[in-house]
Amino acid sequence: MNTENIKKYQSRLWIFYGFLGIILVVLYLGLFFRQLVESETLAQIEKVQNQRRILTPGPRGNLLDHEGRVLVANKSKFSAVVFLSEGQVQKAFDESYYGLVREYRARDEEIKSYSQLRILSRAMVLESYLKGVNELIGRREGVDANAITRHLNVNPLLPYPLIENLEPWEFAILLESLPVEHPVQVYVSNMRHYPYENAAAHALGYVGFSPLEIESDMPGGDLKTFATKGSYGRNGIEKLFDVDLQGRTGSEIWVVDPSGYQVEPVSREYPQKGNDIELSIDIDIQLAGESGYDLYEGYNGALVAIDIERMEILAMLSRPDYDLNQTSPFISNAVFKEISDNRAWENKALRGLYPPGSPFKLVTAIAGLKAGRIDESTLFECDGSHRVGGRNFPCMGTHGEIDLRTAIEKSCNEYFYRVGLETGVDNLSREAVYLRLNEPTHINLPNETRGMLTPSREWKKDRYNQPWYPGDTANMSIGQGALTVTPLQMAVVVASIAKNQVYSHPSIIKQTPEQLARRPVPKSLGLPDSVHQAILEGMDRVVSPTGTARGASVEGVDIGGKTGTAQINKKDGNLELAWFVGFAPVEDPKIAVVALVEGQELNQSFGGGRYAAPMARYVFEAYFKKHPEYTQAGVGQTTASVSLP
Amino acid sequence: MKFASKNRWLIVAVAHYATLFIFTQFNYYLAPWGINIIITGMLIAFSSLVLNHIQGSLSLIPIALFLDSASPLPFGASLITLIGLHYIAVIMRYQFRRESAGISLGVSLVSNVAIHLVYSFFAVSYLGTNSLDPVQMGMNLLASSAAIAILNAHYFRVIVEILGLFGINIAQEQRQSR
Amino acid sequence: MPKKRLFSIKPFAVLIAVIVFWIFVPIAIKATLRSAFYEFQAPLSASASYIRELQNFWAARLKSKSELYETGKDLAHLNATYELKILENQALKQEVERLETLLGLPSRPDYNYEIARVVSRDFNSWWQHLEIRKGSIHGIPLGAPVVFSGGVVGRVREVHKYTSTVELLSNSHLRMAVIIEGDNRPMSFRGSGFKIFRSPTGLAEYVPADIKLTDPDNPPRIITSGMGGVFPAGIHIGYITRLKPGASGMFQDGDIVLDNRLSNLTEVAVLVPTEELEQ
Repeated sequence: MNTENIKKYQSRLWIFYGFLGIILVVLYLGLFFRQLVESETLAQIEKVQNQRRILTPGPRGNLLDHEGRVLVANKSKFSAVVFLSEGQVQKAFDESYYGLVREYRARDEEIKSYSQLRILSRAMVLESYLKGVNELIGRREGVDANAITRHLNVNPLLPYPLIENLEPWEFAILLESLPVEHPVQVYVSNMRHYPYENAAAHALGYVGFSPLEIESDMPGGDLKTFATKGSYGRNGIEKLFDVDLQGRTGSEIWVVDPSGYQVEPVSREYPQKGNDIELSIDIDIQLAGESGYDLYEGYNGALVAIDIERMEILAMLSRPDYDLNQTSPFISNAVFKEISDNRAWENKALRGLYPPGSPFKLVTAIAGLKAGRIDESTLFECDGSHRVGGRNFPCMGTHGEIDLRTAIEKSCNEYFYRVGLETGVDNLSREAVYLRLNEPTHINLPNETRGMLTPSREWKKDRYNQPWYPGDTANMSIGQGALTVTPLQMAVVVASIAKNQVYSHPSIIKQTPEQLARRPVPKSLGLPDSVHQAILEGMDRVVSPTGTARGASVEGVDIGGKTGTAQINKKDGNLELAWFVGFAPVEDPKIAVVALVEGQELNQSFGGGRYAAPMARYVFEAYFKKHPEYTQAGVGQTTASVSLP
Repeated sequence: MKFASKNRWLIVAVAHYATLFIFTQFNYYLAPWGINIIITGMLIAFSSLVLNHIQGSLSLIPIALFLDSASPLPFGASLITLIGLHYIAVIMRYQFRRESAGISLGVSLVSNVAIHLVYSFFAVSYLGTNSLDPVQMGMNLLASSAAIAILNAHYFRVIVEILGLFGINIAQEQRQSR
Repeated sequence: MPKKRLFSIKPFAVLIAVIVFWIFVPIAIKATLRSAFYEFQAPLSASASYIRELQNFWAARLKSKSELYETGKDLAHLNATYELKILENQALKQEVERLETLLGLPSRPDYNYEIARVVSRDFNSWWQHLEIRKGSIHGIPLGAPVVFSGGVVGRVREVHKYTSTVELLSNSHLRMAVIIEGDNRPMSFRGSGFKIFRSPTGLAEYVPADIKLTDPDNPPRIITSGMGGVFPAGIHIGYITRLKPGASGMFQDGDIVLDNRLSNLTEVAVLVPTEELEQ
């Protein structure tokens, strides 16, 4: 190679390098300018234009029973979906559309609506995908052409469900048979699942879907956001503890192309499950209550069981009820209507207002005893009725001369008319108020009624502008008249009477030892021991083989109880209510149970002993099966083992 | 001899294939350690720097199709990659003194890196490979680069000598072309 | 001497011509070209594997007679144990069949084992494939499961005349329905590649939230579910080594370590469904 040539070659190279240099300088200057001068605004504009945020709500926490068994959980819902905004799907849409257009032109047919053609072409593509899936799992699903377009317009970045609710085996087949890059993918979302169906339905509550509430501290607040709907508690614990149960929403930010289809992810934060909540409900006892209630099919009412020492709800049911699984993944209009028509939404345990009937006689007795108007050995003569203010107040029988214990056992009306009249309405009202019958129990469940009523002289004056008559007192002393309570209140009152203390604020959430220690010491009911014992004895006799509530008795356990029949005055007659309130064991009360059954027909005679007491027996049985140490056999055993050398 | 000179691409292609075959066997034994050596870049460098661009293409096409026939990527991916890289090398070749050992090694290494990048791109787009392990890729690339660094000069020399056996004197041709 | 040009338009023209030509080549021709190229060189790579076998043969020939005798004796013991196991298995199989008919379960697909030698291992950063020395003439169907004594190997990806390509478990393109031993909830398994000097790995998705790694010495074992219809149930895949929260928040993702021997296979068995054979 001669020098001249090399020189020529070199000079050309220099030109090339110079050219390259200039290009680079221009490039870098441009970049520098954009970075420094325009970066802020440009980045912002670019971000808002090109990025989209997808929010996925975190799964809700589980609800567990007293022993950690799952009452409410999440069930995965597997679906076969298509991401409509994916490149290959878009391409298939376009190909299908242009294919249709060509076909029309080939046939010389006029295209009336191009947008209809678009919709049709999309449906054809998904139909072809679905065909393959149907063949694999042997289904016969179809696609809804308009739904696809609606989905594309509203939520282009969210997966379009071809088949929802795949069975596990269908999920497995699709997983193994569909190639990884196939436009149809399996997708998992979650729904609430209730393994015990209708058990404790009202206390647990249900969830509904509504647009996701977006927390302001989530990244990408200024971006256009697509979100699947969030699930929110609508009733019961699901509602009251919604904040705890809510999972943390996951967020994905995607760069999208000008037509809004996703290109690449920028950031991804996975959703997290919410906290589990441990309830005080014991599902064994709850289920026992449910089967107890099933004894008399079709009857409405409520049942509550309380752990007295912990002041925790062990079981709570309200009838009519509904299978919670009907509400998941969403409540259809038909189901909603059915439940509404049945009036099954209401939790009668804490919203149902009923005259307490005979169980209130216990309160009358306490009022009389505390006011010093009677003592445990005071005798009254029962001759079948008592005349007050020119009107005869009947008793269910003629009991002769009886004391307090027998009066409780026989539920003698006349005895309690006399006690009430001697004690006076003021003392009666004061005692009911002292037992907190005039206020909600403040249980940690939503929608507890505030409508309970303890009548008094002042109340009658305010309300009706009428004086209080002795007849009103007589009525009130047997739990009738304007007096109304909820079954839950009665359960708390029974617990209070059993322990000679005044309880309130029962909890349906399992208390930690610290929480239990922090509970304020309940105030005393104020009965001397001997007097208190007399009431318990009377109640014990109620659940004896000769008592009215013998249907509630359980072998090996001393149960104290009180049955009752109350009347609700309706237009064309009375509707009777059957009550049973009780606790056990009498020696050291652990559990209080209240069962209330509403009569269905007017003027139908309806005894608490016959209807409500057997329901309570199921609960007692279940409880003492789990706690044999509280039964007489159990107590005997412990003593025996202790006394052994 | 004229026939051989016109069809030298065939000789080179056979040599390329033999090399690939040897490395396939080599990789069989390396597999338990998770190492895979790819030296395709070296083949491109030879075809681009020693042969003219048509002969180079012809020598690479069968090799590319052979690679394609055994890979899960769309058929033709290797063909486009190899021919594309070949022509980039050919264009760059005007800027360099092509017979320098340093340049040929550079082109081999750069082409090899480029092949890794292009394959990664294809794998992500066509195989649904969502998580390529950069460490694994880096190690394989390093092993491949080391193999090329050791072999490159020898490979060039041996093939030039084989061509010489067929009466094709590459060195002389290159001097004449200046 | 002619003037040398800095840029020549010709190379560009050829490059573009090649690309354009390739784009317009009909798919049929491409497919023919592909199988032609493959089959053309297949005997060569197969011969390499024959040579390897020959090597092994001669290596074995070099062993002393007493060594071989010892090995033979050991094998005889092993055979005796296996024969017992076979009898036991037959009894169990009959019991299973009896119970299945009692329950009215659909009969499970039966498989024939087609043993094949490994010709080449193509384990790179992008895919992990094995080439095996059995092909369409041996009745290997596309997508058939491939196993070895240590569990699942992978799935047949391509079938050629005399050879087939198997994608390994670690290949990220491979997906299957798996379960944790002793649990019946299906999860998804996907390969996640090779790591240098380490065992091949996989990824399990949809691992139920209650699965925990409590005992590190005894991690949950992943086996085939049998539900997906491709793999029979109960074949070993690997162990979960790590769990992390999954994309849905409902499930976890699990890292799975696969059998080390997967990268060292010389022989595998292709499971050919019996119906396939009948056809």
